[in-house]
Amino acid sequence: MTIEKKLNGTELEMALAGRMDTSTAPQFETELKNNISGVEKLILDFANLEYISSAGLRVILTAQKIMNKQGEMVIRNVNEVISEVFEITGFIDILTVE
Amino acid sequence: MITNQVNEKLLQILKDNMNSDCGQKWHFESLKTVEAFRDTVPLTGYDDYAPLIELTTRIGEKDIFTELPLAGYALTSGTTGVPKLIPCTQKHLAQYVEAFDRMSIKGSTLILFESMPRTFKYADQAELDAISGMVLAQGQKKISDVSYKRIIAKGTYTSPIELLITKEVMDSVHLRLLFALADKKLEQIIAPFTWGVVELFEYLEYHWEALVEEIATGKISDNVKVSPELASKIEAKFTKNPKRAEELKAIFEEGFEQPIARKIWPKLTRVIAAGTGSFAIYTEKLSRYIGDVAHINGLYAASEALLGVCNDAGSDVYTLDEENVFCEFIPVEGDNSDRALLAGELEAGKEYNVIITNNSGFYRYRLGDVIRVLDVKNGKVRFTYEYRADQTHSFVNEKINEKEILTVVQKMEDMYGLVINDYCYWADYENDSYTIFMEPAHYGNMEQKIANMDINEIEKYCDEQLAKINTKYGQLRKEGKLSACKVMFLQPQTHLLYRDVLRYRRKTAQDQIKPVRFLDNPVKEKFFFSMIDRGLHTSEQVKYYTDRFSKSKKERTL
Repeated sequence: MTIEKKLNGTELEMALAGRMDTSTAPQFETELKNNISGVEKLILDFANLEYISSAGLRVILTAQKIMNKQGEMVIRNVNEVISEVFEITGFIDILTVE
Repeated sequence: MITNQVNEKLLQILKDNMNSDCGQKWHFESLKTVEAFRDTVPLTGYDDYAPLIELTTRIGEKDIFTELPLAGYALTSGTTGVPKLIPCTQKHLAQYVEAFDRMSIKGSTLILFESMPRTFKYADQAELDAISGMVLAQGQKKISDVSYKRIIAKGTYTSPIELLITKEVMDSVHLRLLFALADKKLEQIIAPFTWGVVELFEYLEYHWEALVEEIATGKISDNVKVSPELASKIEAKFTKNPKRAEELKAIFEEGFEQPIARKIWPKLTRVIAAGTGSFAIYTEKLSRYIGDVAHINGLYAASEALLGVCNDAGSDVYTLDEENVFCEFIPVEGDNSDRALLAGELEAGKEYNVIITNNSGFYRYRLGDVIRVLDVKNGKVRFTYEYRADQTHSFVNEKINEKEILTVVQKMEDMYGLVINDYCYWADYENDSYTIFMEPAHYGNMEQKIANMDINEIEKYCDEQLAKINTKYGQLRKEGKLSACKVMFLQPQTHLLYRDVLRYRRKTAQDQIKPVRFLDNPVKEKFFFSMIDRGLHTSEQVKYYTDRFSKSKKERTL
């Protein structure tokens, strides 16, 4: 999985590509926590994210909890497979998916 | 025969509540014998109390089911639907406080539970918390002969008070670990369930570098998002310790393959956490981290009653404690007459459903747990906690329960050298068969190992084991009335994810959510089916389950 970051003032955009599974979810968690200080809007771009596992979903939930305290989080460009996972797991009601 | 103690306890409960609505309805004043009580008061369940609890919490009516003053409502650990509120009087709570007092030692203790934030009061002025949290949150109030002050004075707790009595919902694992790691003199860990202790060590395994850095610098990182007010309070209590950080770094760099607990805390002597029944699989995993440190189950307790004590390391045998509750028992096997027995009437080797009458206004209440009696000596019942009755399923009369499935999982682990972190099961009504869902451990390259195995062979082995463990199942399989069980592997951390989502939605303490074992409704089915590890099964196999999202048993029976 690759992660590209763009910080624009207090807005951080993270573009994820590849697969977020048990082995790569900690990488995203580290990147997230190292860069989230002072961020008021977090945008996760899933355009090139092919797959997300339960370990990945746990990190997404952590991110949502952090952003609930300091601003907002938006997920963009979610593919059909991941969208279905969000739907079934109930994440669709927790996250803001554009 | 009923012992005097039990009789006296029941009479005391009836006397305490004779003027409550329930007491008047069932004529508590005139009930002088156990027999009269059983003849008058029917067996009850939560549904009988739910509308009464609504009256007290929403309208503020008093003295409906109990006349005793309420300490609060305990949120029960149901896994779906509306959480249950269990009334908890001061008298009821006292036994838990006393039990906690008995666990307290002079040495340093890491506590893995907290009092939930008290954000509102119900109409009857009672608040919501977990029982364990209520014990902590009694604050300076003196209840029974034990006060919180005395408990706190007795021992040293690694976590600052802000993490024990919380004012905001937060993930406190990181902060608790931080303070505990800094304290080399830690002597014991207390948690409601072994699940929480395993999660603590798993978190440590993945996050030790950040924790060590924080101990070295004394600066709590932004990883932990709490309010600025709380952060400054906590940070003020945390001092840097570069020497300890170096020591810990060296330990963690050696890896987690060998038990690590005593390397971190040389004085650690015991871990007290309930680890029987639904939690047995986590107890097994705990040894990977704690090695030969004593594990003590401590208490067999629910929000509704504290029923048993087990203080022997490595033992899962509880001694029935009827000091604060009146117990009855209905045999699992029998004529289904619902005739409840008393402790003195129990037979060794038999399984019983537990019925309780407590100090909080629950009368002849079906607890939902099944115990197995080991022996009855000098009026003392020794038992093991077996399984939750509502996690049992029958196609015919086989009554498959969570413990039997766990035994199959354990045998499969031994046979194939796998480590399974969690499990649940499902009844497939299209096929008349069971599917066991197993979640491989995140370590030891388990997914790769499974990928190289023949899952059909694993299924065959599991089916044979289930037939041996549950002879009725075996008979039904022989007769061709049931199809062979299937095995599907879930993605690692699926059960933790399910718990995280529930906790996020309910804003509840983590120990208030019990692990899912039987997939008994469409919500659970959808969730767990969607978490099947697609790398380990063919697309046809996965499709078989995902196609059933809209065909759950309940929906099909409409």
